[in-house]
Amino acid sequence: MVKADIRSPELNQTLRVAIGPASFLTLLQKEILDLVLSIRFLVLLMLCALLIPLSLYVNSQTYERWLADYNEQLKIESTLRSSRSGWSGTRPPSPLAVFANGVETSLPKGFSIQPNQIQMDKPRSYGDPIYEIFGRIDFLFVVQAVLSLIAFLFAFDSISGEKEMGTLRLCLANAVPRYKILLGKFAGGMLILVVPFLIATGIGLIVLTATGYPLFDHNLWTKVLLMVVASIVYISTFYVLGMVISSLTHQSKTTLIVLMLIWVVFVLAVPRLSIIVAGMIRPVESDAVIALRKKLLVEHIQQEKGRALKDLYFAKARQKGLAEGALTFDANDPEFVRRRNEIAKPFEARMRDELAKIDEDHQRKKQRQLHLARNIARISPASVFAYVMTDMADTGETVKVRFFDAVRRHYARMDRLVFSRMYQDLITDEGHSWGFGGTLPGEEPPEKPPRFAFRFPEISESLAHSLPDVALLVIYALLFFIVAHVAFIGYDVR
Amino acid sequence: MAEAHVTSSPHIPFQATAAPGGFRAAWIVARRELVEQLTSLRFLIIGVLVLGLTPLAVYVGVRDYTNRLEDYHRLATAQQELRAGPAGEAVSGVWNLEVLRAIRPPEPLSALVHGLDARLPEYWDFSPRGIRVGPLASRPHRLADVLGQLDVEFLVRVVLGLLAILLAFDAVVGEKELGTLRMTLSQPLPRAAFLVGKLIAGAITLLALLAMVFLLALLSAQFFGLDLLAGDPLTKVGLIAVAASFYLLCFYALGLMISSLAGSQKTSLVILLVTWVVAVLALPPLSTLVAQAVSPVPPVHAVEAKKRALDEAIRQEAARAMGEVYREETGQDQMVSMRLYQEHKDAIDRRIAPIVTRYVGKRRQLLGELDRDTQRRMARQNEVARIIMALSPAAAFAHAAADLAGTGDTYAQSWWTAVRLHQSRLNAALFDDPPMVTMWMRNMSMTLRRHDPPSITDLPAFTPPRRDARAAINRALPALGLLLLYTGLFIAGGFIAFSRYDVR
Amino acid sequence: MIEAINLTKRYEDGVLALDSLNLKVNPGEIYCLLGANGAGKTTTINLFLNFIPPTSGTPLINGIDVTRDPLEAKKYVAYLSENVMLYGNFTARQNLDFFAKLGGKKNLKKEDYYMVMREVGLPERAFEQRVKEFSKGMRQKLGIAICMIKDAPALLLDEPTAGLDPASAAEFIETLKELRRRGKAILMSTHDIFRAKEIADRVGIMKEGRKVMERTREELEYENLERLYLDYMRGGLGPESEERRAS
Repeated sequence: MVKADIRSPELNQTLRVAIGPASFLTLLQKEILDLVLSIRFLVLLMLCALLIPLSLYVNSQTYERWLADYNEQLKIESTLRSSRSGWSGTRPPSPLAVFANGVETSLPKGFSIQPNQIQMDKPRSYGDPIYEIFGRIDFLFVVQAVLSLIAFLFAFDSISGEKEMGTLRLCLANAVPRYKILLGKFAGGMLILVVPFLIATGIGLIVLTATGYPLFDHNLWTKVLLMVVASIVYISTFYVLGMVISSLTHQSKTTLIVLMLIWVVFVLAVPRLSIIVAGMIRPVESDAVIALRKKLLVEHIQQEKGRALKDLYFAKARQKGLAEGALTFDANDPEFVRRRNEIAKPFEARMRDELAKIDEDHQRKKQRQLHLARNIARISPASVFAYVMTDMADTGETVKVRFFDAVRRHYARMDRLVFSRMYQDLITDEGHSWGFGGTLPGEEPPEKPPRFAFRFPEISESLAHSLPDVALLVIYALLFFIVAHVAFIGYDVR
Repeated sequence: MAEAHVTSSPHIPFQATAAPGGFRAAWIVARRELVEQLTSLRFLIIGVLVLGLTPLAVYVGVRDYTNRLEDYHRLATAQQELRAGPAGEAVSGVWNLEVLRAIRPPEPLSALVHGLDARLPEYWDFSPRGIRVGPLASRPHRLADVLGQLDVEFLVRVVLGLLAILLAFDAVVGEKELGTLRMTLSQPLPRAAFLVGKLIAGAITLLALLAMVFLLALLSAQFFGLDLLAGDPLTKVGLIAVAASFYLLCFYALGLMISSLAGSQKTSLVILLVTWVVAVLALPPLSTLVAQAVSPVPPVHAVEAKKRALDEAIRQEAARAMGEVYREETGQDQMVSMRLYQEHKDAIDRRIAPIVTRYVGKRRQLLGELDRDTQRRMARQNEVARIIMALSPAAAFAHAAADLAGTGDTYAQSWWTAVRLHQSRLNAALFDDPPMVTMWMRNMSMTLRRHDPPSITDLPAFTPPRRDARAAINRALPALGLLLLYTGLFIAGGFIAFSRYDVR
Repeated sequence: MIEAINLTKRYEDGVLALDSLNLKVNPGEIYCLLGANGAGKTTTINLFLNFIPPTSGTPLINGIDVTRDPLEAKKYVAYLSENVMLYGNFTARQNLDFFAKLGGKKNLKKEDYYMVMREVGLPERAFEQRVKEFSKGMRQKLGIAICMIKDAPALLLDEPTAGLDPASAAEFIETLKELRRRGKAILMSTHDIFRAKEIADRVGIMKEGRKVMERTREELEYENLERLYLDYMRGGLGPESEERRAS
């Protein structure tokens, strides 16, 4: 505010005038009022109030079923005879899957292992075919797809619409710097967008706690908070982008059409395309092919081993005077066992190594493809946001990798402690085949074979992994704001 | 009628009777609108986008399909070999039931409409305990869960649906704001002709683009190695294209209707976009969500585990009872011996028979109850979901397209029905009269052979559900009907709204 | 040719937009309707075009009741609306072609369009230029060209000179004079007292839905139109009765 004295000769008076730039608050007030009174605000309220609590509630019901299923599985496992424990394992469902389903719907619920074979169970949600045509609706979807569109609907006429109405000229005829107008629009729009969103989310969280969801677990609470913050950053990114396009076009109709096209590309096309393109650039053999390859390898080496052991077994049969066509594994003859081990172990070691190599190779290729897809998808703030949310919810790629690693580690332990103390021989001779299996005498498996336990990453780990994406989201928002600023400075308001 | 006394301009004679008829007027309006639409930015950008994405989507679909086809062939040949082997022994043991397996071939049109094809089991196994579901036909891609899937149906439903809205939203209210509506309606043509003209133009634009998309899809499929240009698949593709036409027309008509109801172009666009988001993106998954909440279905493996546990319990009971019989008849409780059994075979068999019957009956009852309960819940869930989805023409189209392509949930249900039917047939023919039973005495067990197992040729063959075009149409009929209803509704609504429109 | 008999329009919210209007425009005559915004001028024109139905009374074009047979009536009337926008992405000729066809003209050639556009004073280079690049004056000319190519005996013009610069307005008036010479009946609503005095054969002043005054060209020689207008507008004088006029 500047106070000035204006001397008026005719009136022979001095007028005291206060001249000042328009206050930011005035602008903000106008923006808020303008948006609140429009039909869009009502639509936003209704959509938020409907979709967010509903999706949270229904997903929490699903989670409860998953949890019950997991607990039942644990109970079954604890009653297993000790000789069978460790041969299978279950994965707990991630509680935060209620917010972002992510990989929870496709990750196996557990696994079972045998010597030289890991078998993954089906996912928990398996058998609900009607889901699969349309996908799931969760908090992530509502924010990523619906609220981003609403943000566009609020922002599209912020500049170009005011130009059409002629009010932009009127505003700028006053002593108000352009950046303040922009800031006022941004603040106003964000306030209007965020308040209903927070209210709806709050209601949703209340509903969740009412159904017994453990929201106040220390780990969960922080993660949920972070997800809400990330959502707000994401919405603001889209709102600013809307302002950018609005300051680059001169008709609000055009703005909205361009924004719709951007939305389709960012939210629908890029995420899906990134997977396709990455698959084309870095193709990886399917799991089925790898499984087949491993099976053939096992068969092949088993046969080689059998050929090497054949003489030993036949000699033992002759020694024991067994009838024609009968072979036996004489557990009571230490010499026989020692000879058998001497011949068989190298084959088994080789099998172990080659299987491990196939696995490693496959995993590495998959990882590289994944990384490529992720990087390509980062073009779109929507994908970046999806990664942030699923990482926070422990339903992202990290968890998938962790799970498979944990399974492999468990298998390695079982192999060392249990499987390596077992034998599985296959002898073939002129069309007949004999199979022998069991625990090697003289080697008893440990009383308590290792139990599979899977732990979700600590919050620091999740944060560390998703930090680059969070930063990227913020960078996008800032970038768009700078572009909006530059575009608006040069905007033709006539 | 007073005759006007006018002198006309020297070159153009005045003809009062030359007013265009309704249809000709509609065509004049349509032609102008058509030129406007085909040269507009929205059409060009979306057109390029959709035509560029189509080959990509088809590539992925074809690749996935060929992978699944390979898996299918592998399984089928393995089963052939198994069946060619000693037929009697094939069904002797409870664990070699692979020979009874029902293997499901993948649908070629899943390349265009993914639907459920990759999420249905590859095969079903039949066992005394009931149906055992095989693995999913293909594992969904890792990131697809985070980011969603892309196929031709998606492009049509989402992207072309958006185009329909962007073409229609300012068709009426835009011309009013422009002032050209007054100009047009000051001419001697019936009001309806204006709307008809707009409708025709939109129809031509959208259907032309749609035809290009489908043509491109077929050619891409051909190029990537999937021949869809022959009889049955081609018919289905044609039908899907017809359904898509109605869908686009439906949304365009909706756009025209809102355009004749809204106060400004902006309002019209906002309303239509929100409708599009809700109807195309939010409603379909929301409906499955609500259906799940209303009628939750226990997961497949939980049910199977329960069945396993139940069966174990009653089987052990029966096995022990049989062991008792053995003990009583042979007087031997320290050793199980085939020789002893043979000596007392008749007596033992006679007493064992009712035990087996009782066990089978109990099994049928308990496990059957579980199955029926699951079935009931699943049917109810599907019903609820379908009802809610009836609110959205986009969902109707998605269902119709999937049903026609053979990847819809009605087709999936018919597989389940066929599988259940076969299981009950096998129950009667095989499982309810087991050729071998295991008896337990103390901690010793022995397997008794009651009679010769039937050979594979004696058992009923599995009849898979029909896959031809006619069956597909039958399945898709409800969804198609709904789509037609919506289209008619919106067209009628548009005419009504426009007839009352304030053109000033 | 253009006749209103006791034309009344009351809206749903009770507002009486037009109160018993009686008006007649003969061929070869220009009738200017003056009045403040909201006085009922545009409502009158909308009623003649059947854009809204009258509450009571009859609008007639060429003796045809517009409410009974609108399509027939519209054959005989040409319309120029206020704020003509037209189809921006199309050229002048394309716009002309479109409306001509709708009006029933078939088999018109490019030369015919060019001729009409020349007649109204559009520059040659504008013929194939997109309308969105036109100035207001050029759009107005194109609008009148659309009326001319229909060559209907009655013309309804809604504030045709509003927003035109003096030169364009003068050109426009010349065109109107030519149309009058050809025998058209022209009903024109306007604010422009100056032009009205210049061209009108008869003038009517509307206030709050009623026609409060009507004068012929001869009568206006003796009365000051501006004074009359302002007097009526300021509300001093009430509507004239027929007897007063006659005397």
